[in-house]
Amino acid sequence: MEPINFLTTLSVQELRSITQWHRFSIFFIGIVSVGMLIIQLQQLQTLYDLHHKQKSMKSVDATTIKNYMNLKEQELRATTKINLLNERISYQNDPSPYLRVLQEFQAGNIRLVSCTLTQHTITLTLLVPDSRSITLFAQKIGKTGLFKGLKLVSLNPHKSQLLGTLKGSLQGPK
Amino acid sequence: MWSLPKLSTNIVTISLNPQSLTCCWIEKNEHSQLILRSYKQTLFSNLECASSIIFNPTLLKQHIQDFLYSHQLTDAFVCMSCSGPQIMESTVTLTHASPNADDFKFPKLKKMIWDYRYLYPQENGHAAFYICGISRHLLLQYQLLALSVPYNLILLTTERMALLRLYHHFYGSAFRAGQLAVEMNQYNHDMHEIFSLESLKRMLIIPATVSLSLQKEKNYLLTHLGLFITGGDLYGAN
Repeated sequence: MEPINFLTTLSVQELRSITQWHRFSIFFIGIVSVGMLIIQLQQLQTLYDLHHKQKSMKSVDATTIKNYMNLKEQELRATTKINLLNERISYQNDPSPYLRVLQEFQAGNIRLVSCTLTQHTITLTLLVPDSRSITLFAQKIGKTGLFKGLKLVSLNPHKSQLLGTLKGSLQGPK
Repeated sequence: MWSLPKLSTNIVTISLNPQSLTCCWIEKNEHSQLILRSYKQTLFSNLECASSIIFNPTLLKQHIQDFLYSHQLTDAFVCMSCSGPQIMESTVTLTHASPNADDFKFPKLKKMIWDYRYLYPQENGHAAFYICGISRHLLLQYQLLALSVPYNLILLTTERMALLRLYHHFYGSAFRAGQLAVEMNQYNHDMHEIFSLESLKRMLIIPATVSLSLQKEKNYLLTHLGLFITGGDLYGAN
């Protein structure tokens, strides 16, 4: 005789299956959680490493860029200087050789008052004691080969001395 | 979800009637003999369970918890029987032995959870059926009691159903419905009287450690024995 049961219950097999499934679910959830945790930790470690590396790379770059900028600035300054020098060297109407010669031959009582250089001509104003001194001076500088056709264009008394003007053309350094 | 109870092969039987609550732990030994491990009866004095309706669930819960915890039987299967005015029980005679549910014309049953079982044939060719039912709110009360303790309630039936199952078990393959009819009529359908004290002693070993008056507790022990056998049939513990 099958008993009357007011309850609708699960069979023992179903109960045991549920229990086993419950245990397996907990075990499986545990395993999956641990697995996910391990993977996440690895990814976090990688992220941390990358972040750290990026940080260190940033600081190296900043120093390098600073050094590079300094070097670049130095190079620019040096290049400017070199260009200036090259410009000076390559300058055709450089008055320095003429002035050097004038300074070299300016001796005794001869005193250079003014010197006007144009592209091809030179006008010298000299304060000399006598007319002979200015003539000799003109001959001396004429022998250097830098000047050509130097002529005394004026000679005026100035206090106790004479103010003479020489005019000629420039020949350029050889 | 996480507190899914463990499954145990132990069966605890609880019998609830308006007079008392009895809890019993029966075990089967290696020789397939049934041994009474523990028995506890609590008499109601303050209408804790009047007319089968539980009026003091806290007290009932406390008694059941005490019994289960004291014997570490919290994971055991629990079979419960109830009886009282609110439990509808009847023996019905029908003209044929294989009726449908519609053949039982009881208006009361419409509001109940009920079932019937064939008992025996009658001399006039009719068939006697045992019919029992419980109202839904009462069933819910018993289920809530089981949830509040908590215990694995697997069977809720009537005392008479438990005794009918015991009768079947007692006779085994020698069971005859005609014999049941004779004995039922002889004892005016009082199933307890069918079993003598000697029969109970043959079915159940009561150790000396369990102190009880066998004569006084015979009816309860028979019910518990029937519940244990029914529970064992259901869950393969026997």
